[in-house]
Parts: sequence; C-alpha cells; structure tokens
Amino acid sequence: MKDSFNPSIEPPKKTVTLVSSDGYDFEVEEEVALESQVIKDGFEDKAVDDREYLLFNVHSDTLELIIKYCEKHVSSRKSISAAAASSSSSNGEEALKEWDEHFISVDTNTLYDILMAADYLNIKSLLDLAIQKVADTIHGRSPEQIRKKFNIENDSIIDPWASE
Amino acid sequence: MADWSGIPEELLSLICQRLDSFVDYLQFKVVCKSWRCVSYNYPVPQLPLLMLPQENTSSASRRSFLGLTRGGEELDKTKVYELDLPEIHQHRCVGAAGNWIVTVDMELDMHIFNLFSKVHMNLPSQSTFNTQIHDPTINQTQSRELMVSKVVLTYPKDPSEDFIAVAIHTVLKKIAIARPGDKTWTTIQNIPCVMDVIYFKQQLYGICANRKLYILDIKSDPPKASEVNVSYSLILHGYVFGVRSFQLQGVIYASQITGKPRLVEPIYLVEIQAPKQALERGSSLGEVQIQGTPLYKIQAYLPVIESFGFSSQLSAETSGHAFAECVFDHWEMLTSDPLEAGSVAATLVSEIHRRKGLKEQMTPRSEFEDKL
Repeated sequence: MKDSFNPSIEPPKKTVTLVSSDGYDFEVEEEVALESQVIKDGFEDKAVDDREYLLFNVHSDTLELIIKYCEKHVSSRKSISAAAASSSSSNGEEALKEWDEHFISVDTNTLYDILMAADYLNIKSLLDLAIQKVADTIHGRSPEQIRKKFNIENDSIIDPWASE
Repeated sequence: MADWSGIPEELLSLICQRLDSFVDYLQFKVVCKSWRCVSYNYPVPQLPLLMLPQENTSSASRRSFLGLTRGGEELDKTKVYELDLPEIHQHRCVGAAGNWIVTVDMELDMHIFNLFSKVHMNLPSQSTFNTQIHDPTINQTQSRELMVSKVVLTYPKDPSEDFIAVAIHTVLKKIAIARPGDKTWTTIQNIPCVMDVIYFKQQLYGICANRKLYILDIKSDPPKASEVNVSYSLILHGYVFGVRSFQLQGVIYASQITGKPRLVEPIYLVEIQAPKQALERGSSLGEVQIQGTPLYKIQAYLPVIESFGFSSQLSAETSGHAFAECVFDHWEMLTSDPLEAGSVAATLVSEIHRRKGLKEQMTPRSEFEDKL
C-alpha cells in the first residue's frame, strides 16, 4: 500500500502544463492530467522537464471544465478507495454520480465541446457521460425538436426508399 | 459553434447505441443526413414496435405503439409510445414493412405511409377489388374491416422500382396486387385460396389452403404463381409464415409427431463362448462348436438397452463359464407406437425422459395446434 493516499507525507506534487487552443496555460497535477489516455500514452516519451501539452483542439473554457472533471474524479476515487480500505461505509460513488450529472447538465454547445474534448483527450468516463447525455437529450423528442435542440439544419431530402 | 450534424461517425454511433428505444432510434435517423448515414453504417438491432388499434371513438390523432426496450434486466419491460399521426387518423392499418404501413381510410381509399418520414403514397381504393362482397346488410365501415385481411408490402432495393402491395381478400382468399398510383387492384387468378403471404429475401411466397406453397411472380404481367415443392412437415398447419425459431421448433416437432414416429434402437450382435455343459442351462438361438476346442459359440441379437448387466447376469447364470462379447450390429425399428401409452416404445421414451429430467409423457400434437 505504498501508494495509498496520505496527505501528510506526500512529496511535492509533480505538475504538467496543458496549453489550450487559444494559448492559455493550465498547470495541473500529473495524476489529474493522466486521466487522459492520450496524455498518459505520450507521458513516458516526454522528458521530465518538458511536460507541456499543446491541446490544439480544446478551448480554454472547455479545458477548464475538463480539468475540473478530472480533478474531481481523481480526488473522489481516492476517498472512495480510502473508505473501502477502512471498510467504513461511504456513499462516495453515489455522490460522484450526482456530481457528474450536475456537471454534464449544460447547454448543447458546451456539451458538444465537452464531447469533442473528451474524445480528443480520450477520457473514457467523461466520453461515456457526454454520450449518455446526448442520448438522453434525444429521448422522447421528435426529429424537429431534436434539430432545434441541437441546432441542426434539416438537410434531409425526404427519401421514400429509406425504409430499412 | 457546435456542429452536431458534423460530429464523427464513431461518436454518433456510440450515441445511437445508447438510445433506449426504437422510437428514439427512428427519430434519430431522420434528423439529418449524417445522422441517418450513421444508422446505416452502424446499424443497431432494434426490437419491433407493435401498433395498437385506434379506438373508433377517439378524436385524438395520436396512435399508440407498444415498444420493447433494450438492455439486460429491462428487456421484457414494455413501453407504450405515442406518435402524433393526424395523417392516418382513423385509418385501419392492414400491413407494415419497415417504417411503412398500409392503411385503409374511412372512404375505403388505401394508403402507404411512412410513420417517421411521413411520406405518403396512394394505393387504389379498396372498392376496386373485383371481388366485392355484395351484401346489403354490410355497411361501409364493416366492409372496411372485413375486406382485406392483410397487405404485404414489398419494398425494392432499387429506387427505380416501385413498391408493390399484395392484399389478401378475407372472404374469397384471393390475392390482389397494386402499385402506388394504380387505379385498381389486380387479382391473381391462377392461385387457389391463399391463407397467408410473406415477402422474404426479395421473393413473395403464398401459402394456400391446399397446403401448397407458391412463389408469386408479381413483376410479370399478368402476375403468375408457381408451385414450390417443400417438405409437407414445414407447412403442416398452413401457417409457416411469421413463425420464429421457437414456434418453428414447435411446428417441426408437431410435424414429426404427426408423421407416425417410431423409435429406432441399436442392436448388439452378442457372441457367447461357453463349454457344452454351461449351454445346457441357458437357451440359445444358434450354436456352433468352435473347431479344436470344447467351446461352443452362440450368436444372438440383443437390444443395447437390454444389454446393461447382461454380462454379469450371464456369468452368474453359467457359474462363470460363459463369456459374452457385444459388437454393434445394426439399427432396428421398434414397431410399437411411442405415443400409445403402455407400449414398449412409450415405456422406453418415458424412461429416457425420466433419466434426462424431462417430463415423462411425450407432448401430444394437440399442444401445437393453433388455438382459434
């Protein structure tokens, strides 16, 4: 259990710098950045003093949200496993789910940005969350309502052969 | 700016898989071109919807559909969906294919209608069947309910070809065909009493009351019907069509039962070698002395099922002088009817069933017959 979370004796945190498409630097803890499979894959190849990632496809507004999500997930994962280790009952997972739900309750433009960023950075849990949100948004709506909601132009030339 | 119609196909397909009902899926498909493409490139198997009849008195234009949802435990949980369909208000639905339905309106005009894209095409009126019921006691509404029992819609792969609707006349059991825009229905004459019609793999099949299967060539003019030779067992009840695997299993089983089944059992050729004195205490079918030895060889046929414990019984009976060798020889039919209670075959069947933990009696054919 040498990796177990213990704030009192933790060494100074390593950080990496994420640079958004519009040129803002975000300094985040290494383990938060590693939530992204893409960053994780590139991590080993990078020199220790050059841990800077240029995220050309992610705007600073979105990156801020993504970092918030990853930080939350890293910290609550720790508290859940700590609770499990001390076998004390915890509703950490429930709480995280609720937090996720609240997090993803955004307008469709933001949802789009989150979805694309999660895909680009390959953050599986966030991608799942965003996709489920889109599916939920579609649920129960007519095609016209869906178009309106997602601001999609109706380009369907009605095609009588498109039956199945 | 968010461009939802332009998001990558892989992401769209993931979204598509998360949709929890057929209705959502169908709505998804008609949103825009790229979304539709995804539903073709990454098709998600969907459970069908059951269209519920509209109450005659209902003034609302909504129609209800019973849908099944996907996903583990909720698989058998049914949901009712409502779609607002003023276009087919008070129409009677007589057939469906994919998203398309065939309806008859109050004026007996017939329509092809796509539930989701709302595309509409006209079929000739029901009153143009050349086999009308001339009964003054039947009013128009009743005639609408009675005239057509089913319409099968064939949709072509090639857009240059037409839809063809094939209707079965309820009373006369004749079939008639029409294409969208036709003036009248054309009855196919050279086919007797049609019970059911199905469109399968670009081929139209009709099953007749004489238990014969016909391929209907509806593209020729005039339409032709040609008989197909199929195993009688498959069309046992005249309604093979629409049966899915478990029903088909029932049909095949029932047809086997109907065909006077008999058990066939393996038979051993038993060779017993024994000295003369041992033979005197047993009974034999034929015996030959093996030259140069005091042993006699006896040959006999023995059903495998009776051979269990045979050797030990044999040596017990002959005080260990006789040795038996069993070799598989042939299969033999049991003449008794396994369906007849108390017969040898029936006893064997129930023993085997008991050993395998099945119910002891054979399921009688009546269990598989259509309950009308």
